[in-house]
Amino acid sequence: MVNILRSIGDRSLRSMVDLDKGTIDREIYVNEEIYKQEMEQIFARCWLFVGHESMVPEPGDFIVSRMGAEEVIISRDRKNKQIHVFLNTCMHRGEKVCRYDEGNTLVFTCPFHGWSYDTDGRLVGVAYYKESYNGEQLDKSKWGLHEATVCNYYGSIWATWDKKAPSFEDYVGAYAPSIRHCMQSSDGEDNGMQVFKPIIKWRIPTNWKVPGFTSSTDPAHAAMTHRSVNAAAIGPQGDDGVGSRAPVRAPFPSKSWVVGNHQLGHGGGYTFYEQPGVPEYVNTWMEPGVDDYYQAMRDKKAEKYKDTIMPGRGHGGGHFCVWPNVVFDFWRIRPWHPNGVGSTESFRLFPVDKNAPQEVKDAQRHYVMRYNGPVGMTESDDMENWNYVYPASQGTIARTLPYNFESAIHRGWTDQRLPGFTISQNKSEEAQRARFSRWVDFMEAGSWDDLYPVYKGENLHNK
Amino acid sequence: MVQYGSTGNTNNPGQLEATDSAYTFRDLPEGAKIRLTNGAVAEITGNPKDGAWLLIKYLENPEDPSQVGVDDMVFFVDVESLV
Repeated sequence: MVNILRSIGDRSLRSMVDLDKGTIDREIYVNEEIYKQEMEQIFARCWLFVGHESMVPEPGDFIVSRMGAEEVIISRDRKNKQIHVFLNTCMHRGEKVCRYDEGNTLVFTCPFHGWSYDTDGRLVGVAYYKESYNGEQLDKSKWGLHEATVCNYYGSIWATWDKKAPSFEDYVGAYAPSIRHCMQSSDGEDNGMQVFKPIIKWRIPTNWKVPGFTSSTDPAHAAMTHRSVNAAAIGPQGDDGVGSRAPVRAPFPSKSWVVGNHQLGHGGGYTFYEQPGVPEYVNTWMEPGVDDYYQAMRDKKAEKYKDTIMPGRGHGGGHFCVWPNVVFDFWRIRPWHPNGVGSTESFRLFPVDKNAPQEVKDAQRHYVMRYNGPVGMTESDDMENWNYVYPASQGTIARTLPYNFESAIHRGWTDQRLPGFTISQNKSEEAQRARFSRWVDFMEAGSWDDLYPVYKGENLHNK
Repeated sequence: MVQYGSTGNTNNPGQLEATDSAYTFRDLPEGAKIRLTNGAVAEITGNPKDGAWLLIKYLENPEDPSQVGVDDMVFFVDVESLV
C-alpha cells in the first residue's frame, strides 16, 4: 500500500494546485518525492496508451513500449493472435527479456539464466528444470510474465496495471468517440489506420508534465513559438500563399473550442459541427496524386454524413490529451513518458490510411518527419521551451514561484453534446486546468473508489 | 546448407550436448529430429536461434509416453544428438 504524500514541508499538495486562482506551484514539476508518488498513484493505475495494433500485425510480432517509467512488451501471441502487454522483466531475476525495439519471435528468452516465455507470456522454458526443481517443484504456470489489462480501442492499444480500474470507455468518458474518429481512415471507416514503423523515440531533459500537461491545447504558444516556422512556410503541405504553415481551411458551419473535463482530466481542442455533411476539400499537397486520393476519400465520407451532423471532432478539430500523458490528433499520437523527475521519453506515432497508395503514404511520412520529432521543424521549436522550462524552474528561488494558468478562467460553460466537459473559448488554458484538477484527485486518492464514479453535480469550474 | 555438428563435438558431429555446439544449435532447422538425454525423441517445431533453446514436439518418450504429441521447450543440455 502506497504511503500517500499529502504535503511537502508545510505545504499541502492541494494548496499547490489553486484552480480558483489558476496558479500551479512549480514544486510539483521538480520534486523527487512527488514524482515517485506520481508513478504509484497515476501511472500504476491509469489506462495508458502503449501503441497501435498495426505495429504487431503478425503472430509473434512484438514492439517495446512504455507504461510510465517502465518498459513493456506489446506482443501478438502466436497461438491465438491476441495482443498482450507485459512488463519487460524476467520473473526469475529481473533482467529484460526483450532487448529489441521491435521484431518477430518464437519466445522471449532471458539472457541471464535462460528462463523462456511464450509470446502469450507463459513460462515455457526453465534451464535445468529437472535437476534444479525435480521437474515439478517450480510451478511454471505461476511464473509467467507480468501482464497488464489491455483494451484494443479501434486499433489503438491501451493498458492498465490496476485490475480495479474502470472500463476504458468509462475512463475516457465523452472523449471515447474522439479517439474512435482518430482511428478512422479519411473516408470515415473504423480501424482504418496503420502506424509508420519504426516510431520516433527520444529523450528530453524536462519533467513529463511540461509537454504532457501544457501542449494540448495551447493556442497562444503557437503564435509565438512557431512564428518563425510559420514565416518559413515549411509545410505541412506546402506554402499556401500567405506565408502560413497552416493548411487552408474551407469555410463550414462549425465552432472550435478548448475543452477540459475536470472530473476525468482529459481535454484539448474540440469542434462542434452545425449542419450535415463535411467541409469541402481544399487541395494542399505538393506531391502529385495525394490531393486526388484525399478528395476521393473525402467524397466517400461526405456521402456517409450527407444527412447527418457529424459528431464532435469527427473531422479533425485540434489535438486533445487523454489523461494523463498522451495527445491525439488524427495524424499523430504523442505520448510523453516519465523517465525520472527531470527526464521525459517522447514517442511519436504517425497514423496514415492503411489502404492508401504508397505515394500517399510516402508524402504523409515526409510531412510528419519534417514537422515532428527531434529534427522536425516545429517540435524543435517546442523543445527549446520544454527543455529550458525545467532548469529555469528547479532553482531554490524559482521553485517557490507559481506558474500562471489563468487564461480564460471561470469563463467556461457546458454543452450537452459533450457531457462532463467545460467548454471554453479558443484561447484558453481550460484543458490544462482540467488536468491539474485530476492530478490532485489521483495524488490523494486511496483507491479507485475515491476516483469513480466521477462527481455528477454542478461543475464548479463553469461560470 | 546447414552443416550439423560442424562446430560442435568434432569427435562425434551428431552430439549436441556440449556448450561449444551453440552455433549448431542456433542453425538447427524445423522438422529435424533430436534425441534427448532421457531417451525421448522429438521433432523441432521452432528455433528461436538463441543457441540454447528449441521448441519441440515429442515423438517418443519411454519415460512418459503420455508426452507423445505434446509441445515443449528443451534446453541444449538435455539434447543428446540428432537422429
